[in-house]
Amino acid sequence: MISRRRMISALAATGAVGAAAACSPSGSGDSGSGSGSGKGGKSLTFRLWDDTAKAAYEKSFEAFEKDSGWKVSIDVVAWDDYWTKLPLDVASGDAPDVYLMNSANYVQFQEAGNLVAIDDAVDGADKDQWQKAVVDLYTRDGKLWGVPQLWDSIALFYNKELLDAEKIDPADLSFDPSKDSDPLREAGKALTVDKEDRHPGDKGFDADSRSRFGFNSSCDRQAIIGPFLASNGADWENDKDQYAFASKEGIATFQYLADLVNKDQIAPDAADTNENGDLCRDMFAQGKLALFQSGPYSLSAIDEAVGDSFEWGIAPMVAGPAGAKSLVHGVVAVGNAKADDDQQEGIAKLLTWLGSADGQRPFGEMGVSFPGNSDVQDTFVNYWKDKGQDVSVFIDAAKDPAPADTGAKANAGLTAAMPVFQEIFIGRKSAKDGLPEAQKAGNEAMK
Amino acid sequence: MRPRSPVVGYLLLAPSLIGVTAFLLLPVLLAFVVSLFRWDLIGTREFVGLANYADLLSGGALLNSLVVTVLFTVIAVPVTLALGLVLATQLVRAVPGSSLVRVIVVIPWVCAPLALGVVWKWIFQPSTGALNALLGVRVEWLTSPMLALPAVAFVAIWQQVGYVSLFFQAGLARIPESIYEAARIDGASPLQQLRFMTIPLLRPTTFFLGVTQVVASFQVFDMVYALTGGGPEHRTEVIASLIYNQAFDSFAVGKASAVAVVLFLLLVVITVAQQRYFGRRITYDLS
Repeated sequence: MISRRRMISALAATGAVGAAAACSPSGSGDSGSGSGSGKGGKSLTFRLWDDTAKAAYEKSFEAFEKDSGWKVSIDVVAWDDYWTKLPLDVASGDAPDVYLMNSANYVQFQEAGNLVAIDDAVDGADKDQWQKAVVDLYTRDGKLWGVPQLWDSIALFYNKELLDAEKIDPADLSFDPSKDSDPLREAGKALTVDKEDRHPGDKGFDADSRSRFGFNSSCDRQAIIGPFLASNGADWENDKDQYAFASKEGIATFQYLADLVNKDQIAPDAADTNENGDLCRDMFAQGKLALFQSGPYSLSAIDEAVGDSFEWGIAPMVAGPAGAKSLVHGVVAVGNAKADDDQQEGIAKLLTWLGSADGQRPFGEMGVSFPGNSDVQDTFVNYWKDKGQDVSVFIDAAKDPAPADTGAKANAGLTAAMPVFQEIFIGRKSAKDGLPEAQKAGNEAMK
Repeated sequence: MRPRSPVVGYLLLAPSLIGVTAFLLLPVLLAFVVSLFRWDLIGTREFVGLANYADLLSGGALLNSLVVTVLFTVIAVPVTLALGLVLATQLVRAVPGSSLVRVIVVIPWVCAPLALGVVWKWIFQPSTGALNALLGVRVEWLTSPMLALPAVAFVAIWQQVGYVSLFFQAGLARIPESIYEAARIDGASPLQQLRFMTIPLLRPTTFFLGVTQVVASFQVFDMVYALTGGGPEHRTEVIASLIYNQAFDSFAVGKASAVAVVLFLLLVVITVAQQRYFGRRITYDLS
């Protein structure tokens, strides 16, 4: 029987967003969500946002269902709707039993008591094999709140033919905002051409007719902003979970990145990349961008789009004065602590399975991403080795990463700061003026 | 004759009363209640009184979204009505092909605003968009703080003008031709006919379209969401965008509800004001 508290929460959630009902995501994914208690028990719901990972989870759950006796129904909710639908479902008591969570949102759910403490629910030797950077990311108040599933770090995709023609070794690329030039800027100039094959700085160079660009300096928190800030010695947050990027180093880094677009003219216009987050990836796949700093999440799209049209490879990300500091973004599976009591046993079993090597093997074998269990990381490496790519560079990048977003409202903070970042990249604001503004807006939003 | 029992009347009204109560009045009431709380949907609710309203007023976000919404309405509604009327005066004539044109101009209104927004976003792309390629220029239509709102309004006008013209066509068809004949005999020019006959006689239609278009403008969301998401620099953050951003980006459901309550009150005031203004000036009887 539905509880009074749940009824009130559901009503309030309905009323609260009643006026915005037309704005909110409608419908669910492939199957219903919510606790399976009403289905006679032995039934669990699992939600994720990545349709390409669904097949890997289905394969994983086949063995789980056979061994445990629990049935798992998978609910795919697209990323654009995921973080709006999930809070609504939590508010109405209809959250799935187990669901995927990212680092920018988990603290909010954890602080509200919605997540199962992994240390209490999951046992087994596999814990020692979980990717440390991801475990650190999801450890709070002395406890772990999610089972590492998939993770990614940052590296440099390069067009081998273009770099060979200019005799550029991608492993040698570095940046230093305090200098007038550096290997990244030099390489970027050599690789950027207009329709007359002139490079930036050449007499008569026409930026409006650029047919190829050197590097993807764009307003991308994960692949560009975060790694460049950390690699130049700038902090993203302080120890109070407040933004601290408007430091001297942070301003120098942002201005450097914006100058790559507007002054050095080696990166695509921010007016285009701000509006289309996949533009640089697509340009790289079309041979219009020589260097593309990104994560394993771009591998499949690039591989499919490039085909046999040119040879490409992956090198370590561009290093700065403080080294090469990648962001490591880890996705975890979390358990619904507010699910009915008779579901908790199944939730614990499913979380345990999802943390095991056998449970994660399909992620690598099917090329989804790096599994969170290091025992089966080679499955993903081998998947790409068969396709002629060495992705171990991502594993190296994850060994000494930059600190990731923390705090209960990291997502809200980034949403508030991002429009100002975009203005800096587009060149309408200097980093000196814009970064303090972005920092203030972000910190206000995270209060 | 014995008066009919009022119970029958209430029974007949019951379906719509239940619908209005369950899906309009109750949500409005609940939205007001939630606006008095700090709540992120995930955690517990904390009663804060009118603090959400005070935060919104002092923060400038509400004022900004009101100004943006009013500007959007001021640009979009008069132009849509004017173009719709002009279009209707041409389409109401029974010339070859006019039926086909009537269908074509209504197609944008039939399409989902979100889908149209995505298409127009491609068209407006600075480097690869069709519009700049056609004009031979490089204009940042959606990322320029000065151009973004007019660009969004342009798309809204383009979408609505066919729909508006349909109503004007119906209104024009109801005006007896004999009135125009009399005016022509009296020497009235086409412009005078429009000014002193057509426009006054179309007041019922204009009133209906004015109210619905203003209300729709104050509620516009999906197209703005697809085109700009409220940016750049909140220059296209209309009230509905602010509600969405507060609720689902900032997880401040109390503040989102406060904005929704303000929007509701605003629309009530606008509708009543329009009704009173037009109520004194509308002539329904053309006989």
